[in-house]
Amino acid sequence: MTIEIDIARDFSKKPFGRNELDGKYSGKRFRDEHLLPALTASDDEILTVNLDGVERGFGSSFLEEAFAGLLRQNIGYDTLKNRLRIMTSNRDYESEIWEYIDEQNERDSA
Amino acid sequence: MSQEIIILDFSSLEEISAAGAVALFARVTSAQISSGNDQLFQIIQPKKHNVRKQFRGSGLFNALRPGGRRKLDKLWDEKSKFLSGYDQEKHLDPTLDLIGDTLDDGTPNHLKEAINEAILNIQQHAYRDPANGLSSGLRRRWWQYCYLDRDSNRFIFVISDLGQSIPSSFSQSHRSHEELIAHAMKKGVSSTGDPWRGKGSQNIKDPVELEVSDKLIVISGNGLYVYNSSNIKEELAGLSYPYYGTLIAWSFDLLGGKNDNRN
Repeated sequence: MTIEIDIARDFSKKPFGRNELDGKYSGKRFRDEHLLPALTASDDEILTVNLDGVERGFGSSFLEEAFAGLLRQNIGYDTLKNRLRIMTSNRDYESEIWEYIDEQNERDSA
Repeated sequence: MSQEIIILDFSSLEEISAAGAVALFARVTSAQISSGNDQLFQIIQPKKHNVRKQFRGSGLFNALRPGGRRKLDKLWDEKSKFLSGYDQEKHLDPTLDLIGDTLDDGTPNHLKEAINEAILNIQQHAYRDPANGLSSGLRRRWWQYCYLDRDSNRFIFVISDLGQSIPSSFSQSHRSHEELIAHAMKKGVSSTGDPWRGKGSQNIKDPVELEVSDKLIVISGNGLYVYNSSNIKEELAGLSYPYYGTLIAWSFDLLGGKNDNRN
């Protein structure tokens, strides 16, 4: 089974910033309202996140807080490796997200 | 009691840089707002016909003329090249649209992300100290300018705040201001101290990364930082006069042959 979240359709075409002080559609809100519920709803479903369709691109603050922030919310690194799939026509975003997740994991493991 | 008037005499002006114009726009309009005196400045225009034409045609005169917050709001309706915003939800899209219209081909994604993070930095950090004495109309406010020189095929976007400078947000007083800016522009460095923050500086550098004639300039406090690419050492210089705030300018050579592969 796969759960799919389409950011532009399900969240906003204009994601911006890290937390609620930055704006309505922050990385923290996306993480807390979409990613965390999807990951905790089951133990093994694949979560596919589609990044295409947003209008302004993604700032690093949004991507870091939304995805690497999952580890800071006690989602395990192995869970993300096994279950999170990023769909995007821009492979740079996918690399960037995994880079932030890996960096957070390294800090947690240190 | 009569109100003071400050005369800004541009009669001998020959030229003004984009960064200088934005700094002036920010200083003049912030003083107009904080004084509550729309008529605080009297402007004497350049004597030379061609300079005066550019002074007016660029929108600088209209941006500096007597007025307050309403004048700044109206600049957005007029699609001026000189603009001042205070809310990303209200002003980020028109900014990106304006750049897209100016460049004909739309706004490159790298530049969208850079402006996104620059505005985020202003919102998160520049006005963090509530005791900086700014009036309510100035907190979170930024000033910007975009310009396409069709003769030289150069596009410039400048954005500035008048908040806490980058050097003053770090407590390492033994380092020069330019060194502190260079430190802040490294990926993973954040004045918050959170190890997962400070990624936005890479977004700000990315647009100029691939083309040797593109440049990123950061002026803050007494420091000047010029970045071209990760393969070239950044240029650092101290400034005799401080800039009370932070000014960021991107300068692009549109004939540089660079392809933005994020489009």
